[in-house]
Amino acid sequence: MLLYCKDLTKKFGEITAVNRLSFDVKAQEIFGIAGPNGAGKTTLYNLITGVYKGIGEINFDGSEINNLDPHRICHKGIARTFQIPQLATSLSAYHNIKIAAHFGNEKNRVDKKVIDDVIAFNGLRDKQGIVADKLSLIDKKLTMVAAAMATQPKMLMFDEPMAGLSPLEIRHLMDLFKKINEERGLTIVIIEHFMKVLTELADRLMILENGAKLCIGPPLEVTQDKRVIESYLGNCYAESK
Amino acid sequence: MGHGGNLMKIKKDLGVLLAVYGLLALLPIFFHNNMSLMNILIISLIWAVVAGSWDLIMGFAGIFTFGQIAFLVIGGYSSVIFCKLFGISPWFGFLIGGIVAGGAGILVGLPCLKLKGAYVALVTFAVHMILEPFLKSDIGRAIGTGGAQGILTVPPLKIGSYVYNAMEPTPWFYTLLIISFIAFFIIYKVVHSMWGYSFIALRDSELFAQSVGVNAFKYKLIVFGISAALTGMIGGVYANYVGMLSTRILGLDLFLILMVMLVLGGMGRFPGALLGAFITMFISESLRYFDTYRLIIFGLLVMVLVIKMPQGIIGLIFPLGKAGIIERTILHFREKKAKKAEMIT
Repeated sequence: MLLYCKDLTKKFGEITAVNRLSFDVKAQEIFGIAGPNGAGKTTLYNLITGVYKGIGEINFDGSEINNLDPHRICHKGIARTFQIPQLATSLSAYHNIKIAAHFGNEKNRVDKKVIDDVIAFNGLRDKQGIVADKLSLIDKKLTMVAAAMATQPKMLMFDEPMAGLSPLEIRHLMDLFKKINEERGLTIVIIEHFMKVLTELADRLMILENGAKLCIGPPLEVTQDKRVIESYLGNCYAESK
Repeated sequence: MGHGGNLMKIKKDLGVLLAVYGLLALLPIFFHNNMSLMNILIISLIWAVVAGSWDLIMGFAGIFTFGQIAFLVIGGYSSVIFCKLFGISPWFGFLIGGIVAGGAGILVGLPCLKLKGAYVALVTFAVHMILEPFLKSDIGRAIGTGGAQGILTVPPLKIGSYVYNAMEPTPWFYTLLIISFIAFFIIYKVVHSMWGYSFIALRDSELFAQSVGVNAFKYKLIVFGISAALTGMIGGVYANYVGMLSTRILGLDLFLILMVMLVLGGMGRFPGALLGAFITMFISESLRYFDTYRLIIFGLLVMVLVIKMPQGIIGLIFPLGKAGIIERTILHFREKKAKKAEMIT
């Protein structure tokens, strides 16, 4: 297994955002995470990527990454994107990717081939010179994906990547994620509210509720689980299936 | 669109810098006998370096620090004190001023790394506030600050047998021109290096920067160090040019004038601070007759500029994402020429 979390806990005052959560992610799989708002999905990402410090064990690729700073976790091979696009907005898409390629490795060396490759892979050739702030939402998301890939990670974590996109754009991103997983052999962890996206993409799916694991398994099994239907999907979703 | 636009921008920034310094280099040919004007030009070059260094940390790295004048004073005092204590040349004194101020910048930066926005401003301004009573205190006097009186004699600057003096401003002007050019060239190189991009990434989105491997702690400390070191170095030069150093420089006048230079030039827009320094100094001199009202006018100017011209002068000439005055003028003449050609045919 590539990522292993045991008894992960994060409290904000009286509120327990992530509650003794244990799960693992296998190398080269697409692992989906879903759950109602406030279930602790993004907090979990922030714990794994070092934005928050919590209690419990996080093991990545054979080494403990608990309490490491975010840049060190990036150097270990975990890259992520954000639900609300986060980029160096005053720099071009190219420079955002160049920053990732340069600082994403401990030696701080830029490999121009890597930059050109991720730009071409994400279809950003015509847009690389545009200032990130002026990019469309889909292009901002693609730039984030390209920047994450430029760090040459082992695992990519996408936080609600489909939010705000049109059906065509969602299809485009889904195809891209499949390609990243199949052609590049990268492990993908994806938080998403669109169940269709998760059922089509994910090898395994975990549903969170109140910071704890409600259910984990293959998407078809999980979406038919009574507890998941009751607390998250609702009867309409189950009937439509 | 390729990424060639960024290369163009790098060349444009260097072009503007060279053009401004080229023009400045010509000024003494016409005004070398005008002592008052030469003095304004020399002081403008000094403040330009302070404003440029301040812009590096505040404009480019987005760290709201109000301690720049404190670093200027730390650099000035340490430069002069070292020269007096060890009898070293003021040229080395400038370097020592830069090193001491750079170290102070890193020390001040350390507690600021856990803070954001206004809290950084408060901590750094506290350093500014603490400095005056410290320099005037018995401890200050013991290390050679001269207490409330300040340092009244500064070892003169020499090149070979030539001794710089107040009656000959032209050598001072060209020396300052070279020193300030070096400082701005360093800022230019930093801004367009991977360090500079890391500062901008941390300013625009710390979450993004850290997620792609930027060590926020390290690069914020680096920008604190560089900005304070350049300011401290010019503090030594300032002390030498003025021939004395006291805590009066820590007053709010200079703070406000430097702020106007930054805003007028364009924060985070290289080399806005350089242009802002000269324009502000000339406005300041022309407002001299207004006496105490001068500061009120300056305060109002900051407010108007922030609202009406957030990108400053440099943003007017080269606005982000659209054609500036120069490009619009070229376009206008091209269109006129095309119309004329059309009429002839």
